[in-house]
Amino acid sequence: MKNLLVARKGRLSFIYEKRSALIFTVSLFICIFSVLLSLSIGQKYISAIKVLQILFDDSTGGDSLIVNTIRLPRTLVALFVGTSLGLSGAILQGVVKNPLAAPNIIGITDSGSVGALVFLTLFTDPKNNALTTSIFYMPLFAFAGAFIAVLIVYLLAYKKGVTPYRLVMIGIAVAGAAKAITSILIINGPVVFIKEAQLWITGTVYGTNWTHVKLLFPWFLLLFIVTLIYTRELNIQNLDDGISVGLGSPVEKNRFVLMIVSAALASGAVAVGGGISFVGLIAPHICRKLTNSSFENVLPLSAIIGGTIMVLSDIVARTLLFPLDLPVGIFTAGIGAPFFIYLLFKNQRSQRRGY
Amino acid sequence: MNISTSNLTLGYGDVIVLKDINVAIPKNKITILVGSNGCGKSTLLKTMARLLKPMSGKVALGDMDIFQKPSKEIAKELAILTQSPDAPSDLTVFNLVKQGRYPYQSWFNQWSKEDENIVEYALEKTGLSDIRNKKLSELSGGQKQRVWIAMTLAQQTEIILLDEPTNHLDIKYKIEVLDLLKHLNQHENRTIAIVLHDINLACRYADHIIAIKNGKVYAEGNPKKIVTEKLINDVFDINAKIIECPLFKTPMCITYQNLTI
Repeated sequence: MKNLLVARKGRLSFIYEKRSALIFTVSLFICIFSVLLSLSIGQKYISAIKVLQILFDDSTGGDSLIVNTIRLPRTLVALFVGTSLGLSGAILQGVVKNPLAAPNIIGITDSGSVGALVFLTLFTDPKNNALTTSIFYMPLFAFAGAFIAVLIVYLLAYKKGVTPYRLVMIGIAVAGAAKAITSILIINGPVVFIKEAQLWITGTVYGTNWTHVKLLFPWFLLLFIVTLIYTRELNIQNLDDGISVGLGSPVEKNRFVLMIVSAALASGAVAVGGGISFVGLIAPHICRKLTNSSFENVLPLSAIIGGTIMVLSDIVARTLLFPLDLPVGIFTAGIGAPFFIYLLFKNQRSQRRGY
Repeated sequence: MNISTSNLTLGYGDVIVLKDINVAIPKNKITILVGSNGCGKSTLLKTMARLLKPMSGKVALGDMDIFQKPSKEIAKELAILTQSPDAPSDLTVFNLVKQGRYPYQSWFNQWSKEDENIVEYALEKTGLSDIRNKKLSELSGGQKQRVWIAMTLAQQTEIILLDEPTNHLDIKYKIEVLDLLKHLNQHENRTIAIVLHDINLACRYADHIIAIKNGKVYAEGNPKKIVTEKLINDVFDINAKIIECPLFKTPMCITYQNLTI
């Protein structure tokens, strides 16, 4: 019991691994540091101390304008897109009992793209290639696209309950179909539209502002709380279904709720940040490497690490080829793809599950 | 708490596997279900643990229909260990055994003193106290199976059902697991029902054998009374000579295909 933190008072009782609490604290500090770094680096360097002064004290002057209206909203959007994707991936990997699951594998990302492209198709004036409505409605379409896809996947996978295996297979099929629709829309759309669409599909937080933060943050917070309430259930979901039912868990009901929560998190992230890949896959993996597969460890840590990856990737994306502002999705994939291959190789040697 | 079935018919889709089964698992005894592959013994065990819904008929736990009872309440009276269960290999022994307390916990009460004591007891009973912080991937097959048994023990149930708990284990670990179950039965009066392939081990450990053949209960009772050469031939479709086990005085089968060739 030396390695455990136990808190008991009356009928309340909680348990946490000491090591995980330490890792969580360190990660939180790294995350805060990344955010500060993101606020000070850019066309004009602003020292971290100055940034802190601006944040907590003085909100006038040119530097304050840069931090408060340009860098802070963009950094926060990157942060919450990352936390959402990390958390979404962690939940999904538990629900389908497979560490290779990620929001894009069950079609969330690709279907979000379809939603975004449907918006661009519907609201681009073919005469002058200008949008006939505000670009701010695009996230709504992306969200709808992603969320509808998950419902379709769930319904198609349903056959006296849903097995994780069917979820993944049908998810892959729906993702494939969504990709095909995306291609058709791009090929048939006006030329100017291609760049906008391509940017979106790669994933970018360029030009995000406080409106996006206000949309994304409460959404993330709400779902994060729901996820924390379901932590125990996720631990049970991660075992064989027979064992879970034997322990008295309402397996099917929880699977549905958790799928929806995971989809809602990823859809929110996709709606604002576009088709950012790999964060949902690698963030939970890094957490497992640092702690273990117990979800009280994996969930909060995945959110923090997902957010950190996004913030750091965005710093690289907007400074590497300055003044060119590259889509952040390039860098999450740039880091994520090699890591994914590494995981595949490693998994061949220590196979976790039979399929 | 007794568990029994009445007119239970089980199957998958349109295929009927077992028909009109009326069996009772005797209290405080070890019952072993035997039969050839695909005879439905695992299906019967899973249905008695509410993992599968019957086509018709009832399973009674005490005086209640098991499918009418809240699942969490059942989990406090009956534990089931399914065949070769799987869990993430980086979980520690403690992580997994702790899950056995699930039916007793809530979000606000995740680790009571009672939870701690019972998990401690389960680890000790199964000889896992010293390796509680090891990851599952570091354990031998026998140790892993003991972890799962410890998890069911943490559930603190009177009845424990196990589906082939010795599957894929070396003979040493088979005996280790069955001895542990025997101990739990004798010293803690737990009612235990096991699906087992090995008829000789079944005869040695069972107080009560249920032999299943062609979707029916072929025979049930104490192994010394019911295990005959005819039973082996009928149930397993193989010839056998039965002798008395020199160590345990239980029936022992020596099986052969056809001695004339």
